[in-house]
Amino acid sequence: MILEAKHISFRYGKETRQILNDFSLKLSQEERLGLIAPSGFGKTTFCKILAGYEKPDVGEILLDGRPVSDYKGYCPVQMIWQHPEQVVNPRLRMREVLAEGDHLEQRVLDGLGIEPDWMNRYPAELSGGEMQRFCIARALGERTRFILADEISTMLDLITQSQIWSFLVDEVERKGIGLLAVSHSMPLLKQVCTRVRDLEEELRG
Amino acid sequence: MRTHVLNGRVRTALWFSLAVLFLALITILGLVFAREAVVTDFSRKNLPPSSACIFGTDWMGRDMFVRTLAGLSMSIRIGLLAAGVSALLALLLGILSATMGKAVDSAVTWVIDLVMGIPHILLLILISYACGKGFRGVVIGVTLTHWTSLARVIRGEVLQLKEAPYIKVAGKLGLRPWQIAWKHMVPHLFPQFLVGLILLFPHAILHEASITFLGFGLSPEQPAIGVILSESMQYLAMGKWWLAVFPGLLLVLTVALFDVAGESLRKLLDPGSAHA
Repeated sequence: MILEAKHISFRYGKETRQILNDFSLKLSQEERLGLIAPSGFGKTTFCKILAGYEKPDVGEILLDGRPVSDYKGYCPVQMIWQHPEQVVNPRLRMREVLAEGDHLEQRVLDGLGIEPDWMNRYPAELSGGEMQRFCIARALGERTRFILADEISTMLDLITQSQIWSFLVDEVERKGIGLLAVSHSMPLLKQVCTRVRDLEEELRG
Repeated sequence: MRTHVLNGRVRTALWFSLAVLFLALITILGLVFAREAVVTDFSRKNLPPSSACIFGTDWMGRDMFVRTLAGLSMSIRIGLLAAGVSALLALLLGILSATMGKAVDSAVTWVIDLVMGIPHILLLILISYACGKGFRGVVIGVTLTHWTSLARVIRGEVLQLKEAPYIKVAGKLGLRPWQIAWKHMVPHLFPQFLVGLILLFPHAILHEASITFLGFGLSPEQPAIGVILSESMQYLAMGKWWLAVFPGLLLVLTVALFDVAGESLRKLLDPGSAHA
């Protein structure tokens, strides 16, 4: 499958700043693409558009030539959000949070360092980093073809960061999932991705 | 400095339990005395309150205390049924309105505005009369007129919930709209729903009594509070004050207790206000 963003332009409301302007991108399932850009550039907004959470003002998102919004049910493009506490229901136990996604192998939970004891806790009883592992696991369902990782490791210490990234890279390679990694950190993207685009540089050049 | 032994939370919980206990007691006693309430004894008619009959007796020699209890019990049961169905209707329509798109939303809000725009009692009389009065007429009438304000609250809550990121993620994970409604929205709405339900009771009971009093509700042979009050009107001018005063006071007490129960539950479920 090919995920393609064609000439995307977007702004929130009429009076506000233009966030994305004629932005295009192509990603295959074998690739791991890194996006680097300063704060306020619209990285998160772009991820939301790519995953179908927002509709672009101009342009379209195609998955194998079909608009992403046409895919009903489980969306093959899954986004992992920067703030895990916003994307889990505070009233559900973590076991139920995971159950919302596809079937998961135990290997994934082990690889992300999710302890069995955490399953019966509520989100408020976990740290941000612990919750983020659940969000990553949930996005790695069987029907996922592309993962959009939006600054997913900012709340983790360096050792945990490397542990989680190396697992994620192994996992997407094994399953043939395309990865879009968004970050501020060039060294991280160089380590993780097969190619990196610096959006600020592109804009200047 | 501590002036109260019990904190606000415990006191609120105590008020709630007391109110519920008392209402349950009235309901059960009314059921137990259902037969005594219709016993006529012409040897003791029109007696003023005494130690034997604390609320006095009416012109057919019926014990007014027992009759009032039976009437209130009936009112509470009607209220329970009507408020329960009404609140469920509100929940259903509120959720439908917020999740099923613009057309459904405008249809439901239009009906809400329509029902709210007509004076309650007027619509109630019309519906009850059209449904053949009696128990059925009252229950249908009260049910169809009382759901609107709660439906509005629930619609607002759902509209807000719909924008929550975790609900949007659930959609992308392939959950169907009804699954999202059940798993994510109902648990958030439940406290609102429960409080709204209990606060519907006083309205339901008062309206039941009102239309029965006006003659569009329960039939005269039933021991209903509205029937008692409207009959007492004919005897009030003859100095039989006890026929109206005690049943009226007990009705006010019942309604006030439901209000206490609802308000204290609201405080308990909204922790920030429990100590206010």
